[in-house]
Amino acid sequence: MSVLRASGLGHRVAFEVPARGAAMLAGLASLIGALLLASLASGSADVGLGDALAALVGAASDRADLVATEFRLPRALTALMAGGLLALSGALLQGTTLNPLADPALVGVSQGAGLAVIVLAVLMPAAPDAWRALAAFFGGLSAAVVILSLTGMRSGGVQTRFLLTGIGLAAFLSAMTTALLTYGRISEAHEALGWLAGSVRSASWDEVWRSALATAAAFPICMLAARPLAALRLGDDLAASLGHRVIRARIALLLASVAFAAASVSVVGPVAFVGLLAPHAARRLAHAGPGLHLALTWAIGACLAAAADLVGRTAFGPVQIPAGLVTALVGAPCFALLMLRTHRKETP
Amino acid sequence: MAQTAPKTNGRVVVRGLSVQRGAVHALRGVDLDVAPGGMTALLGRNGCGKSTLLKTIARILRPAAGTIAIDGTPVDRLSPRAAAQRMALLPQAPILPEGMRVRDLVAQGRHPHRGLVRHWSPADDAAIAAAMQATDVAQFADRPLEALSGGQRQRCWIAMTLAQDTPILLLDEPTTYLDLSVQLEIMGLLARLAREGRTILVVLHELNLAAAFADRIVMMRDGRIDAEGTPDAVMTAPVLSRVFGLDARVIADPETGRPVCLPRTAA
Repeated sequence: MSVLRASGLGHRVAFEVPARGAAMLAGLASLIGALLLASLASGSADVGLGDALAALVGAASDRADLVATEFRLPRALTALMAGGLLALSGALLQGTTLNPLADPALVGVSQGAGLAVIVLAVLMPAAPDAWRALAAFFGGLSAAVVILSLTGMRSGGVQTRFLLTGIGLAAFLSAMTTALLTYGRISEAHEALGWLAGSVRSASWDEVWRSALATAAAFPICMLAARPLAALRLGDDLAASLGHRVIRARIALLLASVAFAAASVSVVGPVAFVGLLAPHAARRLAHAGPGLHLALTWAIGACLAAAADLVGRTAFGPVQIPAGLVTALVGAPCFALLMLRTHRKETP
Repeated sequence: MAQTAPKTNGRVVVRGLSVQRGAVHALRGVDLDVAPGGMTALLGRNGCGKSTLLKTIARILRPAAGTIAIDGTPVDRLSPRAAAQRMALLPQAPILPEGMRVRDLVAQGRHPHRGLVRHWSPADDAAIAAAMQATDVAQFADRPLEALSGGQRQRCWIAMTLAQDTPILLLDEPTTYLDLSVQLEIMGLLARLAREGRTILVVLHELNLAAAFADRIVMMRDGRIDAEGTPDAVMTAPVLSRVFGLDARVIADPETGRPVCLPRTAA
């Protein structure tokens, strides 16, 4: 197993990366590039691959430029970054709850965030966009606190209970949201419904900048999270004995997970299964340390969401299927498989 | 900032330690001196407080009263990282992350020696190699732990605590669920590490295992220390009767001279 190493400043700074993991990350980066190009080039209006490439570097013909850079590019970029954030949220949630099946959109965190956004839209229709993200954060956090207080924070053993409670809460919050949309007479109810299914259809450059900001914040947070995440995988007692402040680390990881989910939800709505699948796929793809694992997880989540949007947009054109529905179609069977495997391991 | 293991020799001094777990007084005023180097075994019935004592020394549980000092420094004044450079804990049932390989598990022991932007050092490599050597798991370095037997796996966990490079090792029932021959192998390994100068404090269930390998035995009952001393001094019929409610004879092993407990089984 070859490992790439670098160190400097009299060994104060030293990193190591397994070669295979680094290669995988490079491969995913090119896949992201390919998905971007494909997103620009495909759809009802005809934009050639050459034009798409030109649009990416800002030198396309006028019409192609308009379609590609004002509609398709922001949409694809938003899907990429929202997917990456969701994947990171899932990785941190799985790490802090020691539950391999945890996913922000499965256990109600995303639905809590979604409900809060809708409530805000009903109560204060004129609220600025930034409030939406804040509302999403506190909505998601409330949902997380409710699940954890019902099932207990210090536990890897009561996984089924955690999941069932979470799924119940997610259903309850979704029902509340639907009720609110039905009775709340929101002028943009139609818009809101599309958003709640997890769609980047209406994404503009505003959404791109907002998710880019969240992504930029996520990277240093993930660097900080990597070490405690690795230690917590060994259980609370060992993590403490290895010099980590367990409770503090748990809370910080949970807050970060909710924040990432909220950032993603406030832009594209609750998209299911990306947060569940990406960390597992990253683990299968390459044997990696915690930092590289998070990077791979981000890239896989970005690819999943961008691919889901691309498929949903083009496969049944002119009908557009929200990305959230595509991920659900692909993700649900994978979830069942993972659940079976986890169950087998718990009851040998 | 070249990191070296702190120069301590691993003396643990416990004074007046009381721990409350829920409504239960798990420890009631425990005094204990563990001299540097050598193996001390904590024995007693289930619920007597032996694991609680170990976890409180490891700073996992907070005492209601009393003090714990390592080489004169109260542990509650150490940062988590500084404490982790002085003592390593192997819990009773550690969680094994899926797909983890032996070398990576052993490398986890280096946590307290690493930093945010300092992910490896030559000292890490040396400590990991030495730990795998000492526990004879180097041959499995690239194998996933799931592929190993129970005893091999336990040696890997011990290697992880060794890689932490601490003068003090705390182990909570490291031989439970293992075959007898493997129990002997693990205890032999711990005895060797103790002879090499580490301070080892180990919770055990098996009386005879403790008597055969430990330098000192601490018998606990109802959150207090009932008897303490060399195996010869502590493994006596009256102590076993008092601490374990056991009707037993104690004889000397014909080969080693160590005490052996023989419970009376005749009807």
